Amino acid sequence: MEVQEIIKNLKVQIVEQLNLEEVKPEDIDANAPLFGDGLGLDSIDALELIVLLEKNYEIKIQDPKEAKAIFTSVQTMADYVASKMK
Amino acid sequence: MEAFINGATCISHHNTVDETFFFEGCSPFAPSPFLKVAPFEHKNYIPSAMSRRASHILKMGITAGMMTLERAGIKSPDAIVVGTGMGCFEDTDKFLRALVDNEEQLLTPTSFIQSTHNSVAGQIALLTKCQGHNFTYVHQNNSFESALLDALMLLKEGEAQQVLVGGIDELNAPLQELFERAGHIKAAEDLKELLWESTSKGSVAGEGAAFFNLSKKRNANSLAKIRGVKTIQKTNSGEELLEMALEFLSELAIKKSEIDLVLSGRSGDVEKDLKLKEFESRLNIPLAYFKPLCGEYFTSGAFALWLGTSIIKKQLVPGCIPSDQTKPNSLRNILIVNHHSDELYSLICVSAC
Repeated sequence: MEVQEIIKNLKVQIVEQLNLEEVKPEDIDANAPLFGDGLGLDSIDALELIVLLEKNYEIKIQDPKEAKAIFTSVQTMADYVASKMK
Repeated sequence: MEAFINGATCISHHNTVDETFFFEGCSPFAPSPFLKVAPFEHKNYIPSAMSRRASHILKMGITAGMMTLERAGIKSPDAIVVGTGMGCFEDTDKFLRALVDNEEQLLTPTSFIQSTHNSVAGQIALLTKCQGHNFTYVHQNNSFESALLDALMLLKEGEAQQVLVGGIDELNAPLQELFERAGHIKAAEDLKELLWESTSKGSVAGEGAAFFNLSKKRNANSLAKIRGVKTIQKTNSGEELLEMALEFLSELAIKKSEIDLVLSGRSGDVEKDLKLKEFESRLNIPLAYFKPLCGEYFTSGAFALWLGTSIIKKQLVPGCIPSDQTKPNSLRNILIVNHHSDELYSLICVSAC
């Protein structure tokens, strides 16, 4: 799967999994931070994202340091997913 | 144990959030066997980050609770006490289904966190920074009444000066299915009869949230005064229920002749209402029925208390429930009698203040 396609899928899955009521998938900037500014996600969302990756891509994230880098943005998530799918 | 109601909010099948509305133009006939709440605005009371994770019951409860505090002019109460018969059933259902579907793996935290029965009281405490007494009673048809007892005792003992108390239950697809399978719901053709004159089994299911800010001190916002509450585990007959009601009134030093109106919780089930009908027939007090307005649910007693309070404040019985024997300016003392499926009866007395 191409990174651009993963980005598109991730945006839809994030909106659905996190119940982002007022956000459309196409409104998410792939390079914007997921936490703090940007989408403004919190620690519960981080757990939801871990489950999202495991459920949809069979990717387990166990190292918290690794997670911080992976969940920087939708782009970094997609890059990580693509690297695991090779 | 008495307390002044210094603020109240009710979210129900009708637009009761609007204080100027009082069932004008409402039909006494149920439009459906499931009475969902009317749309209400929650954005002013629930932060967007919280709102996206909040289920229907949380949105109802937090909105009703926060609105009540606003109406009472209270930023943070000393205690929060909530009653709910079924709790956050929708999130519990979601969590349990995910548990089964994913073979106990990949469970998301949100449904679990929000499925706990005390989420409503907890979220209100977080929003109001209330670190005091926080309790949620889950006791079927006596859930709200148990919460009310706790609130009154907190005030009596001086452990709290301002108590937010409420009753809340939601109606959703899994519950509707369960109620139908259990035979609790009327067939569509039976809705042609008035609920209080119904000759069929089953009832009309409802949902709602009613919250009250209670204090021992009367102020300019005071709507009415709660005189007392009594929960009854079981009654063998309407006559026995009447004896208990008279004893209750006697404890409150109120004569039966001083009760201007009885708000009866007839469910519309021809068999389960038998004792209540016998009780009513021996009363000789004007009667009105509240369940055609809100439907049957475990915390309908909270709706009834809000209705009784509003009737006293407005000196008006809504036209869609029968009470042609009452006269304006005479509605000072109201007795609420409720039950659910002929189990767990309750009595609440509310008076003008």
